[in-house]
Amino acid sequence: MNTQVIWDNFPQLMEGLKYTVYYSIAAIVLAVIFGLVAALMKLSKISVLRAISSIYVEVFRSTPLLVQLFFIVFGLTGVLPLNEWFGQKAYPIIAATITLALHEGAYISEIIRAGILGVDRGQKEAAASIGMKEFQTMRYIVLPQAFKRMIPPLVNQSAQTIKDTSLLAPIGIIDLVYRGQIVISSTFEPFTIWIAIGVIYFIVIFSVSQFAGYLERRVQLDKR
Amino acid sequence: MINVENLHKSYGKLEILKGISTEIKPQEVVVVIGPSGSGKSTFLRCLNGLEETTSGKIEIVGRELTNPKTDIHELRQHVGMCFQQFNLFKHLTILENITIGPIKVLKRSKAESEQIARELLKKVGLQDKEKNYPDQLSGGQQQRVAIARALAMKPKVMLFDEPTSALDPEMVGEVLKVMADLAHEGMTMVIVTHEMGFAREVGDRVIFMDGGYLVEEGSPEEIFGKPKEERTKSFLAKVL
Repeated sequence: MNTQVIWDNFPQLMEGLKYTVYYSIAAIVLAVIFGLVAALMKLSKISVLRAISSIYVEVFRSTPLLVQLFFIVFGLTGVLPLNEWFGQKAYPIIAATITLALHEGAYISEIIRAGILGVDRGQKEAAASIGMKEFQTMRYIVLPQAFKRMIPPLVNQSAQTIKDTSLLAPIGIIDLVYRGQIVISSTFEPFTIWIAIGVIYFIVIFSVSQFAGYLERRVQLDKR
Repeated sequence: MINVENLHKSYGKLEILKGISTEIKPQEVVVVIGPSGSGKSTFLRCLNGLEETTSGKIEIVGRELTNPKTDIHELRQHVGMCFQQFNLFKHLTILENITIGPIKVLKRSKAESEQIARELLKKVGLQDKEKNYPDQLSGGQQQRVAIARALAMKPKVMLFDEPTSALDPEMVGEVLKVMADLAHEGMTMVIVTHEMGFAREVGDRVIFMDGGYLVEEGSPEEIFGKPKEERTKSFLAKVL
C-alpha cells in the first residue's frame, strides 16, 4: 500500500472532511428542531397535527435517504424553478441539508417522543397543581427532564447523521467522499484512498459513539 | 369555600364516584377516610380538576370548576395540593421547586420568590436544604418541601392526597406536625389519609367514603365514637 499518496493528498481529504462536519452539524441542529416539532405534534390533542406528524415520520423512515435526496434535489427542480429561486449553486446544498435533516428528524422525533412519555406523570400533575399551563409544564418541567434522558440516543443519532452525509456525494455535493473520489481520479490509488476515507470516518464516528456511551453511563449514575 | 353537588365520575363504564355532595367551610379541616378503591383520592383530585368530572357541580375558592368557561389554571393557583409520591420536580433544587410557581405562574420577581421560599423552608424545618436536589432528601423531608411548594402560591385551600402513605413510619410524624400547624393557622384543608389518630385530633369533620358513595360524615367524635352506618362501623373495626 502506497501510504505516501495519503499524506500528499491529506489537505484535500481534510477539506472534504470540513464540509462533512459542516453538513453534519447543520443537519443535526435542524433535525432536532424538526424532531421536536414532530414529537410535540404527535403528542398533541389535535388529530390533524398527529396525522401530519405520523405521515412525515413514516414517509421519511420508510424510503431510502438517497431516493429522498435525488427526489428533492433533482426531482422537484423538474416541476419548480427552485434553482432560479435559490441559485444554481445554493439550491442543491440547501435542499440536501434540509432533506438530510428531515430524514434524521423523523428518527429524532421518536427519540424525543419516548423521552417526553418517559417523564413520570406525577411531575405533570404537580406542575398543573401549582397552576402551570400545558406549555409551561412542557417547557419548564417535562422537557428539561426528558432531554437529560434523550442525550445519549441523540448523540447516537448524530453519529448516524455523520455517516449519512456520505450520501451527499452522489448528488454532487462536496464532502469527504466527493473529495476522495477526486483524489482517486488523479492518483489512481482507489485501494489506499478508500481505506484512508474509511479511517477518517471511523475516527470521527467512533469518537462520537464513545462520547454517547460516556454520557449514557453518566445519566445512569446521576439519578437526579 | 368548597361546594360539591351530586358529583359523578366514571372511567368508561366503571363508575368511581356515584353522587357526592358536601360543603366545606373556610378554615375547616376535613378528613376523608375509607377503604382503598372507595373513590376518596378521585374525589380529592376532582376538586382541582386533575380528574375531569362526569357530571355534577363543584364550586371552589369562589369559582365554578365544573363550568367549562372557568380558567382552570387560574383556579389551581388558589388550590394547593400534596401528593402521595411528593412529585417534587426532580431536575430542580429544593429552592427552585418552591420558587418556580411564584416566578413562572404568578410572575413574581426572583428575589421576592426566594425570600418567600426561604421563609417557608424555615417553617417546615428545612432551611439548610435549599441547594439540595429532591433525591438527596428523605421521604418526610420531600413531603415537607412539597407542602412548602404548594404554600408558596398562597392558596386558599390545601388538598392532601394520602400525604404519609409512602413514608417510612418514623417520618410520618414530622409531616403530620407541619399539617397540624397549618390547620391551627386556619388553613382550609381536605385530607385523604389512613392516619386515624391525626383525623381525630386535627379534623373538624370526618367524611367516610365507600364504594363511590359518601356514606357518613360528622365530627371526629361522632364518626369514631358512635358511627351510625354499618359500613363505617365495620371499616373502623378493621383499622382502629
